[in-house]
Amino acid sequence: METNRRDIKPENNRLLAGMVRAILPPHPILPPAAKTMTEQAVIANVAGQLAAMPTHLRWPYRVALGGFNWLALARYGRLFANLPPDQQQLYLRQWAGSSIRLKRDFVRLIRSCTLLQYLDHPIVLAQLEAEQNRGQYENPGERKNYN
Amino acid sequence: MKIRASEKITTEILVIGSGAGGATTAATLAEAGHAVLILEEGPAFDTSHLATHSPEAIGRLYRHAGLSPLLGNANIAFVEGRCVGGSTEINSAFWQRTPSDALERWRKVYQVGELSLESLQEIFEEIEQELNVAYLDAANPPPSSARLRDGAERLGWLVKEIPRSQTTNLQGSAFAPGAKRSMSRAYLPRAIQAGAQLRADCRVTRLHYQAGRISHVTARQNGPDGPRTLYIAARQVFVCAGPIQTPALLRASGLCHNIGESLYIHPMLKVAAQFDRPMDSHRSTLPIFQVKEFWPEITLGGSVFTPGYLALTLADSGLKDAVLPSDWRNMALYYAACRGTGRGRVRALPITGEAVASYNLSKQDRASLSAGLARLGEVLFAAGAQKLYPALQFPIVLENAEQGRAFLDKPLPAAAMSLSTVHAFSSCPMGQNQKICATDSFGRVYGFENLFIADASLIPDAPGVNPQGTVMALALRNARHFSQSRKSASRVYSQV
Repeated sequence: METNRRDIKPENNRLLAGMVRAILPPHPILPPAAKTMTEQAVIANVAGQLAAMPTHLRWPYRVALGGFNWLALARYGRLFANLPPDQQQLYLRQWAGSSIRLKRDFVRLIRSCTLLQYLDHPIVLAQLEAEQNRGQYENPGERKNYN
Repeated sequence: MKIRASEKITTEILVIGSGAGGATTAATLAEAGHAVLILEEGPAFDTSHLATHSPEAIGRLYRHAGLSPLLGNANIAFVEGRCVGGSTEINSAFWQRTPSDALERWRKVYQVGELSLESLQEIFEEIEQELNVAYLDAANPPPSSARLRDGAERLGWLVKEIPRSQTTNLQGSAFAPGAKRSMSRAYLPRAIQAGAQLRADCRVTRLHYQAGRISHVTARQNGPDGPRTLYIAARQVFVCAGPIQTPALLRASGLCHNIGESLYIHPMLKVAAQFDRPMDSHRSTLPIFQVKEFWPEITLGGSVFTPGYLALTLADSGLKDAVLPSDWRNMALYYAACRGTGRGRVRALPITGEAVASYNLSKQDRASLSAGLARLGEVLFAAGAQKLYPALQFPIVLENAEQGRAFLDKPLPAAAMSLSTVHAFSSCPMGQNQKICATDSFGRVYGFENLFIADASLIPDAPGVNPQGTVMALALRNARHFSQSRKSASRVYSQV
């Protein structure tokens, strides 16, 4: 991947991992080992994609990541990565549905990267096929949402 | 970081970029007996087992790992290749000749000389043979493509299969990795066989010039031992880095006359359609038909499908519960694209020279995209779709054609649309009209005797069709013109 040496900072990687995990759809259900491996691959690839962004977008995005994290602290008394999963999802939904375009676009970008990296991951694709063949997909009403 | 010693290179012809324009130019000139050096910024990567739209491909082959949006009044995702073979390694290999109305417009408005359908006929035939441009099995199309065709036929609309520069791969599938006749499989091997040299991982950072001549270029080559600076002296320089990178390089080098001032695109609005039975679009991935009833202003077609791409479209649709529906196998992705009439531009950042591209949708673009959405609704509901989820940033589900037709009278706001494009051009238009053109009718940059452009930047405005055919035809035409004019000049010189 085309990367820049001034990568997303290590303290942001924890935030990034938290955001990616909060965005990951609950389906398909993967075996624990496969889930961990896929999640790690997705987190690494999303971090790589953000680091490969052009300079004029990468720097503002880093600032936005910081703002996202500190506003979580101001609002909930904890950084995003330390929030319980429900609160993480609520906070993401608030940003995704904000009337401010920049906030919407901030979530949209990381959500797009995460969904693409996860749902087109070979392990997930195989699992989706297997579940479809067995007719095991669960009720859509149980899906998480981030909009 | 270890910086290796610099290297000085001399060559007759330097080609910067190895995509559709660069590979064609390099092969044509090398086969004409010129000494050619090709520099490619991206890596050389064997794509024979890599699905074009997979996350791995995005990380390895796409510029900025796929994150290079156009700035402006709408969200427009733009992707281009950054690898040996350029964007031909990541596109869908659609092949379309330049429409005659576009050629006529370019002759009239831009005063492009010696350009006609007849003059390009032989060139197109030659390239099509090399790329094995052919129709796929239209009698047995993928289900999502068949639905689009059936819907159009029910409405009496014009629908066409679009040919591809594609063969079957070892498994006999034209949709599988390795089946595409991209530049790394077609013109680049030809260029190398004719003696051209190719250096990958080598980014040209600046063109140096004096008295109307490029004296040398500076490049930075990455290798296992660290980066190395190259100084390359070339008698002739062809910049073929694509519609965004070419003007950025020229502007970073101080060349600005009509450079990067007029970027055009084909903006595309995606729609996810839900049917009552499995489409299994993820198995065929690539669609084959386009509805041409409203062309050239509007084109309707099928879009690349994977579960990930479906989730992106649904997430963009602003639906509260959109991730991946349980019946995702019943879904397919389609698009409405328009011939962009808005205006964009390309600039280079100070110091780094990185490109910053922007495009603002015009009123006409908004009207065309909204009408495209309405027409797409009509054709898909006629094809049996149950629901449509357009990539709009507010929650909307279309359940019948009538709902879609409302957009005919009420164009969508630019900021409400989540758009994408893979077609950009016109950032350095060619023609004899020096008020608006950056190069002459054969790609020579005004004010320079040895600097040429040969990529989508030259295309004067949006052609309304996939631009790869036009890029390659113009590159071949211009490279032949260059080679012949050099031979004529040397004959005159030897006679003197």
